[in-house]
Amino acid sequence: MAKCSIRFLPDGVIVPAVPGESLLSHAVRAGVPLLSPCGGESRCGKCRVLVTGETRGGEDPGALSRGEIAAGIRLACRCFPTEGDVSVTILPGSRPARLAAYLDGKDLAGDEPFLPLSRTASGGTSLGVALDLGTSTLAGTLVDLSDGTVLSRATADNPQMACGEDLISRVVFAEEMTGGFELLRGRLLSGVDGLVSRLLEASPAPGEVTDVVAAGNTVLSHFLYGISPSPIRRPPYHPVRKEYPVVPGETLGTGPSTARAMWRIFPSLGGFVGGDVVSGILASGMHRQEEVCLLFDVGTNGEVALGNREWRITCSSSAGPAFEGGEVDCGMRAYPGAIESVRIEPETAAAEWTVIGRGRPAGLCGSGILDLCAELFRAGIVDRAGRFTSRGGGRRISTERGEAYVVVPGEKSATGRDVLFCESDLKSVVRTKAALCAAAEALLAAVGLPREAVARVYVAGGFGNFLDLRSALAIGLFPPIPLARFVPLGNASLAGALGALRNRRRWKEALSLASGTLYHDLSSDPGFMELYQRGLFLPHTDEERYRSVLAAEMTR
Amino acid sequence: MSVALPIPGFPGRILAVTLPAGPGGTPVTVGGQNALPLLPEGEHPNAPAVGMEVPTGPLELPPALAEAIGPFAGDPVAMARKCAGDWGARFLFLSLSGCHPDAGGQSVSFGAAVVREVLSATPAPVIVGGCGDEEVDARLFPAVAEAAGRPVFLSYAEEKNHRLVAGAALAYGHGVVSWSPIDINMAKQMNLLLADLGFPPDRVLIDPLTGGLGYGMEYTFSIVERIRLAGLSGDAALARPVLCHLGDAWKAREATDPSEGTWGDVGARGPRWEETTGLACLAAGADLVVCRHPSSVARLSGAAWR
Repeated sequence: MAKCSIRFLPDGVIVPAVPGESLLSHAVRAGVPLLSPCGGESRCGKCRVLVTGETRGGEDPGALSRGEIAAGIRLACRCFPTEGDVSVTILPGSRPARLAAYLDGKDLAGDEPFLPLSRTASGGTSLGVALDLGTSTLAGTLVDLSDGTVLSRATADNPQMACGEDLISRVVFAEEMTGGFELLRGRLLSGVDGLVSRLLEASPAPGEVTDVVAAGNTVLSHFLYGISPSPIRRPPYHPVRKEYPVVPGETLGTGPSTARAMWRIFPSLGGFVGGDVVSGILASGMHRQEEVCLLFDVGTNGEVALGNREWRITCSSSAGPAFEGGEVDCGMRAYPGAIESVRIEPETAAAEWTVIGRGRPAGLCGSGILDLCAELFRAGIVDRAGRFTSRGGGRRISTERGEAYVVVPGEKSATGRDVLFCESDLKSVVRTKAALCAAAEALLAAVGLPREAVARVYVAGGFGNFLDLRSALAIGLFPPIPLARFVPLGNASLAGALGALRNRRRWKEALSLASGTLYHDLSSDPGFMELYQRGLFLPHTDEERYRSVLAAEMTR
Repeated sequence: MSVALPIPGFPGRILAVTLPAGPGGTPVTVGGQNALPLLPEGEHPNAPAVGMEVPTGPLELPPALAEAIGPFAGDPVAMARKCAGDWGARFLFLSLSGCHPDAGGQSVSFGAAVVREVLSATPAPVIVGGCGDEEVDARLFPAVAEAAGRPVFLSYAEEKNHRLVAGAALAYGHGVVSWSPIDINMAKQMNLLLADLGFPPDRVLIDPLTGGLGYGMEYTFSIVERIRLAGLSGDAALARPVLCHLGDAWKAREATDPSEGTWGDVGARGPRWEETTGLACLAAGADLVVCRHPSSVARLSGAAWR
């Protein structure tokens, strides 16, 4: 193959073709955004591209229909260029988009004097950047450090997404691909740099960034700090380090805009509970309260913290990315075109929905998936074990993937295909919710407290801003605690980082909070599997308790 | 000075379930207790019942069983009469194992006919067991439910097939055995699923899956005990009688292998293995045990204390 090239559309990026390398690898190298939740393992079927030119492979009949294959649609992870120039169009459903929804977070820790971290800038205003480094999304806030006002806010997709949607696939990618670690680290740094540039561009006041406070999970904190996260995925699952000394950006290798700023990375609590949770605890104010509180961080992974001002214990649940669009066939992230809420008319079994951005729906984001499950259950279309019943009428069809419910018929969807929700999708959601609920129950069991002892439940995470708590409780995502005790926090990780930027005592608080918080390893908790099994039911095996505490939420 | 003994009472009571008999037969009622077995307190209106398995289809019997039931094993009707008559089984577990494709592959209509014949040959209460092949059982249970001339129990309904089995049982007035793989939560989930279908709770028995001695019996013991404690503590979905099928004891090498001379006579080892498993189940709280060897019926009936 002599000097052939691959052209990616609509970005218009051209890269030389490398024989034996998939289109996905070319896209990753070219920096072209392409969804690949499974990390190129050919499992998710989401890296759909339209190919013109000579290629081979990528014609997976399980993921693509015959018509689509004939039209030239391929899976980028299994499609290889053979001869001549190839033009690759990334289809709308396979293209990540930006989202403003991940920005809002509440800081409940209360009003405090303004005591910024900063030193003085050499010229102009001294600026601070608060960062939330999420597995899927990066979010940032730019603050004027002279008075604490917010100057601009921005979000971006984590560019590491193309190398695996979940953290473990990325750790594996870093280990097994030549130069994988450097590539992932570079992608994270470039994502952060891009975000900071956008923050500065959008800022009404010019200035110099002197301080950055970043909250991220342990794996991302390791990548950012330039340490291999490999030990996290092997027993005993400990991170290389839990605290990250304050260093200037140039030491980390960040771009010029933050190279001279001092970077503070929130300490990690364990391999799978990172600084984002520390930051979330900080924002919730749980660490100052007398009453016992629960904190859920619902994201690509689910973390749970329990405690009060005396003690805290946290764990990471094995919850998968079902609420971030992974593992569910019709799932997508909260981009325009995603269904964000669903109601099912019990008589006709037809779904009504609202779509982000008002267009035609292409799939469902986390809150939509949650609503859909709750509504299917309430309408009696699925039973407690997560199987379809005989109800559902014309909305039920049999597919190659088994029995399915038609959420959106093809003629009303953005893609022209039916948006389907299969029994296997429901099972993934049930597994995810069981893991999250069981994680909270395991923490309660570990400290010997009953559910009634929990005075407040904070729900953090971008998804937490939008989820319908009644739907969440109806399917048992959370333990049976009265709805009135729930407090949505939004992006608490970002809010906590912002708090630390505005008040240096909060940063110290974060450091002491980390050392005063116990990490509970669920994989070595003998009671966890039983709690998990209890959760593998709708809403839960402890059905009586849900009915007595949450009667209204169960029926709507 | 007299000191009142602090006898702890349980708030719950196990639901009494009756396995109906034919004309002239004795129905079996189990459950109804509000206390654990082996302890002096509480009420135990019904003693545990010991039943026997009636196999169908070709069998490879271990030595001890070949000697005891061999002559009847090929003829379910004769076997059923013998079990309920001479051997003293209070109920029969008619296993339609012969319908399994790997065990003779008798037709579904043949299986249904066997059920009909056995039911008319003996008035003893009957539990009909499927063959274990998902696809065959899906046709077998409705056929059996229709063919049975009097109420029986269908064994078993699990999460995958519960709609079908419970539906067939509901339509013809039978009971079901609700099965789960040694897991208290799944046992409860099964009963909740049956309740959602409107299945009457007094026609449900719990089969928690019984491991033989040395092959998981202690797991079964613990789960049966926990199911019982949960039921007595007020968890209505678990306050049901428990059935333990001791067939797994006959899968143990110790019970069947004649080559180990130092282990003693294989003809004695087999029944001992089954009895020991059965005693453990009864001690854990089982209300019904199903055995394969006639001597186990006598011994376990004698030990079916409360």
